[in-house]
Amino acid sequence: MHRLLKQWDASLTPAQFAKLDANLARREFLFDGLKAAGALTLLPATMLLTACEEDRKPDQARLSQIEPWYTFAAVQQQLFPDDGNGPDARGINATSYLKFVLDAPDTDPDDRKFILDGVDWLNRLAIARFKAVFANCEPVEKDKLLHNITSSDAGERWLSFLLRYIFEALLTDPVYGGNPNGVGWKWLQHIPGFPRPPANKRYFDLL
Amino acid sequence: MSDADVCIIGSGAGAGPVARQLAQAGFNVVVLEKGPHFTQQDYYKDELACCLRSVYTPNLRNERHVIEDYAGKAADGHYKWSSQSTADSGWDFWNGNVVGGSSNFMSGFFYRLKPQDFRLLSEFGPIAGANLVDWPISYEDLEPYYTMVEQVVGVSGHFQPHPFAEPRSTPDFPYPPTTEHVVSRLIDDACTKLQFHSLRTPRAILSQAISPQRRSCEYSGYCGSYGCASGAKGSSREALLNDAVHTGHCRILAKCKVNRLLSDSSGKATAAEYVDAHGVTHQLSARIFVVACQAVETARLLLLSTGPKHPQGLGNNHGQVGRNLVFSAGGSGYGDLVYHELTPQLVEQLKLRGPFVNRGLQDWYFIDDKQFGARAKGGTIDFLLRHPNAVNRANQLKWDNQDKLLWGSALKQKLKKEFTESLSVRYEVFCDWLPTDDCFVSLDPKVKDKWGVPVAKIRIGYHDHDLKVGQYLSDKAKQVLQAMGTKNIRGDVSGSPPQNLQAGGCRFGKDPATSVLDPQCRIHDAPNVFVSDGSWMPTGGSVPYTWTIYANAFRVADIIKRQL
Repeated sequence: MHRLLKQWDASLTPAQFAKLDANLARREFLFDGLKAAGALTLLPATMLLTACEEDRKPDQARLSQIEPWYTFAAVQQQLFPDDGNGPDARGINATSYLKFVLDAPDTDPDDRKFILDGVDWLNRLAIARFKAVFANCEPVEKDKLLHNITSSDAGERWLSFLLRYIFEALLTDPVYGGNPNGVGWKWLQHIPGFPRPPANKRYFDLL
Repeated sequence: MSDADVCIIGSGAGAGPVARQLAQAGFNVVVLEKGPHFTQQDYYKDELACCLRSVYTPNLRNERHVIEDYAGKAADGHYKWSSQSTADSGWDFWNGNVVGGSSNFMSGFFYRLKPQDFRLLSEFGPIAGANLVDWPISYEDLEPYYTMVEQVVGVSGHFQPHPFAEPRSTPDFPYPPTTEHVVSRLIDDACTKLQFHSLRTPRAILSQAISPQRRSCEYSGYCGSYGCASGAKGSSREALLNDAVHTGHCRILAKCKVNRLLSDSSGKATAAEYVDAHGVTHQLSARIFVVACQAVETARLLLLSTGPKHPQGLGNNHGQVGRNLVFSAGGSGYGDLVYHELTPQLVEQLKLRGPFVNRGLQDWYFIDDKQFGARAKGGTIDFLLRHPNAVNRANQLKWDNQDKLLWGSALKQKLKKEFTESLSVRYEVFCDWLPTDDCFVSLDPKVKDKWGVPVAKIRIGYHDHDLKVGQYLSDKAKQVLQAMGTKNIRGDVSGSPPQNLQAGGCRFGKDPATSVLDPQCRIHDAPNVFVSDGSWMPTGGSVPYTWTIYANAFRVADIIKRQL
């Protein structure tokens, strides 16, 4: 295991790991504050690469403006790629959805910190191995990095969190901002129930 | 003068019948419910609300339990137990903390107990390590109330004669069965081949409208774990509490958490002390108190309610409160109907979401099989479709066969295959969770909830006999899946408790030394306190508890009416 991954594992106590596992396992988080704040809005363009920027690698100034969403978006795209089989991470608004989750006032602060810190650990590993931040690595390098980090306890949990919120963006009601026009449901031939939640009866409106 | 004639703590299946019957009789009833008051206009088919966020149950960081689980044997042969807070494990033991309680989220599989369930000890004899007793009442005492539940709560079904069918005072159910899925026919065909008696499962779900508020099921296909938007599901809120409030004699105070019952020097309860949504503490006096918080929380509240005559907790002078907690033993499993092996016409029918499977087996409710051993109590098998929750299902698919995370195209291919190429048929086994000295509720000496009140500690030991019965039934269920032609048949029988199926902890009986409640479900030495959730059950039977809880709560309502 790479020394950075050993350091990442060592930065967390057994109790912190246990808590992360508990939060991965359970129905979690209250979203009281979202009633006032409103639900998911798509990430503003200033926080993601624009279409015309996608072929260029952003400079440091631009990076500082768009991180951690630049890295999250790249990891999510690697986890859920555009491969001709259904929607990709971008097509289900996975990054905006993740921001919605991380911004939620009652998201466990330890989970939030762990997910955000993971960006730094991943990019440090990417620079150590391939001399570029994760998002600027080649696809093969990205996949190697993801395999690398699953060899660590922390890395595996970090990717588990990201996958979990990709599935939420793919398959929860479009009223929450993911799964636009039911694209995830259509792909997996999933029939949603009815009545579906209206915009004024999302779960945080009920709390 | 008291604030109320009757104060009911909790609002689920044990509370609704009491509230309705007493309010309709003109008594002044107050229901104190810890959770919010949602109506059918608040319930949508939203997986986030239902199952991925803490909307209908407390946040475990604020309110938790401590679970004591088996941790091997010590050198002296005694069991060792390890404690863990549910906030640390994520194992949530709350079930529907809202008006109507967990009955809002039930699937409505409704079975009666059978006469032999009321006399398990004399019928089957003792089992070493199990605290078996006969009940102080008989099936005949409860039968009229089972029938009342059919009519008032609304149970849909069709009576089928059966070797183990329990006696009924009416020829059939008041409402016809709900519409059925094509899988029901496949189960029937398989059971015919196997010479099993496929039974139509009665459901507490209306197949036809009975009022503007209680309409027919809309067959959305999302029932269990979800609140009902049509009023068809016979939740305590929809079927009973709304009637109670309609009388003008019942008030429901939501977001009011009772921390203890106060009692006087005679042992009688005098007031419920509760905290409202603003954190203000109140006391509500009443002539009669009814505790119906579900088994674990009922035991906790009684243990917290010390008084001059109850120094160890209300009704706990013989150390019985919390003891003999039971869950439902058994297990579950799946088999997959693989579409490419079936006709296109059948596949189209299988893909239909909405109608119910409504099939169960009770051929082995009593096991008379030399290969098993002596004649024994068995249980019930129920069949259903895999739960439709999509996020939860996808999340389970992120691991490969070596327990490594999957991602990329491999993950997407797996999702596509699992979601679109087969239909999973599920079975569930319900058998007795034998009451033992290793399954009980106590107060944790250290962990407290957000109000600073000690939380319930639950020891969850099980009896090995439960696994033997569960495995026997699970094997029978797998035979059905095999005969149906399903593939990838798998199942699991374990001693892990289903936290939504709780009973016991305040068993009723004639002897105050070995029971908390008298046969009328009144605390032996607190004559104005009743317990009407499933806590009274000394043994649980081999079916989901809700119908029996409803029926007994109607019985308790009659008893209270006579006492008032």
